[in-house]
Amino acid sequence: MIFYALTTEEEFERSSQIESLIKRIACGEVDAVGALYELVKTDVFAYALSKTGNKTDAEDVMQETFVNIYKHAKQYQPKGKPMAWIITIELNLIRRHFQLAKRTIGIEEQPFSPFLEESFEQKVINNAFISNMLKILSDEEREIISLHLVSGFKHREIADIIDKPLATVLSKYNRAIKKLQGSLKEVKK
Amino acid sequence: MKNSLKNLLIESFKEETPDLKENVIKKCKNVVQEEPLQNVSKRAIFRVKLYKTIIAFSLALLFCGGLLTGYFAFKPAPSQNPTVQTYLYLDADPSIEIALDENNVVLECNPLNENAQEIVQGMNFKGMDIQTTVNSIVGSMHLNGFISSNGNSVLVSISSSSPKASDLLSNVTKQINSAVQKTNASCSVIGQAVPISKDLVARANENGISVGKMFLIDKMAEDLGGAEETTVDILSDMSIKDLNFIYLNRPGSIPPNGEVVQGSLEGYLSQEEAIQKLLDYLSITLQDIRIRFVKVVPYARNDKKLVYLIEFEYASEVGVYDYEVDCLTGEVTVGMSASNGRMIVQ
Repeated sequence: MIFYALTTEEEFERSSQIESLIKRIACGEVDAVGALYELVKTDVFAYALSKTGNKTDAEDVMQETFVNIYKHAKQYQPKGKPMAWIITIELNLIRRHFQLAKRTIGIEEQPFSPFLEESFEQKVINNAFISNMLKILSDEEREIISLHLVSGFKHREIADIIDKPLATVLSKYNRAIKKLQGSLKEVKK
Repeated sequence: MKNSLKNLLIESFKEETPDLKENVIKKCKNVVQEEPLQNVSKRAIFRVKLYKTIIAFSLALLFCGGLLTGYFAFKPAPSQNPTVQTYLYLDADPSIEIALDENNVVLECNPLNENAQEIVQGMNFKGMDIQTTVNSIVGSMHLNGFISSNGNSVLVSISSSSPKASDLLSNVTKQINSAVQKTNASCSVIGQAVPISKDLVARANENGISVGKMFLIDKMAEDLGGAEETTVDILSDMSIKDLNFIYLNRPGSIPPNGEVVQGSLEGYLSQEEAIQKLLDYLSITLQDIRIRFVKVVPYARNDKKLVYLIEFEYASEVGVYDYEVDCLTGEVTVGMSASNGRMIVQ
């Protein structure tokens, strides 16, 4: 009980910090973007990685998310949920990213070229746990786990963000947790 | 268990999270911030909406106005035959009226008598060009025996407000001549320009003939001594072949010196031949008489026959004589003394 109370207070404190940074960004303070970056970078990256499944795309999305926060900061209306606003910006970017990727794949169906292969830099995920998580969880499971465990969103909030029924979110979350726990046990062995 | 999993997950993500802060700040410096939406007052939004509505409404009005203008600009005037510029009449016993627009495209094709109905039966000329239409009609006339080897005539009449009416008349006349030649039929083609006259149209309708034929009859009636009702009635019943024959032999075509002018058509006797028939009948020679005139008289005895009325005087004696010679058979039907009215032959 004490844990949950503290968690809620921490979350409140964190939200206040984010909101004040967004206000500063809205005033054109670029340094505040750096401060916000330090505060929410893991949340933003975790969500980007869980949605894109690869580090290169996740980094692109991450950068663009912070640039868009700066760009639209004046339009932010404080409602006590700044992370939801940030994740919404990120989600829109990810969707656009996938749309562009789809079109690009359609256009660039070219024969194999060793030069292309050599120039393409795929960043590797070093952390075994995350690497394993990306393998064993489905797209939606990864998304829910990231939003709940990393960013601290409630299941109801996640249901709103990903536009799924609460029951679906809960069942997918439980299934994902079981998979991760099983995977963890195997790693420990 | 969940907390340890959560901590592990957060720590793992922290490890993987790249440090892109400098890149982000660098990029942000080149980005222009968008203005907040809440700065736009409700009044301003309402004003923008109002302007948009007014513009949309104005555009809609303009569009509707354009449509209406276009509709009325291209809508035919509410008259009986608004786009008819030319009426072309083809007469070869069948009488056909063809209404044409300014591009000589057929708007209507009306048969004016029973024979014409046979000619155009089952044909729809609307929208066709005049050349195709004329070819079809001439072809049908030939098939139905109205243009044959017995030397019929086709009267082409044009009543038009077009400045190119004379060209059209010339072209159609040539075209019919050419079409007739291809059928190996002997047929003469008469072309005439007809003035636009309501009175002419009314009288043509009254007599049940085409405007072209009415105009030809009017001209002939004058030549034959006045457009009296009886003359017009007689001429109206006559075929174009007969009318053409009379027209070619009208009195004006005979020079004052009494020489005979060629005006024959196939099947009819020429004036020369008719005179020879009379000379043979009277057993005299041309040197024995002096011809005062030769003219074709239609249905002189109400028998639907054309006769040459030949008036002459003997060189050796006083007295003027009139003889009628059947134009087709050459039979001398009537002879009388023009001086005292005494009948010589009856």
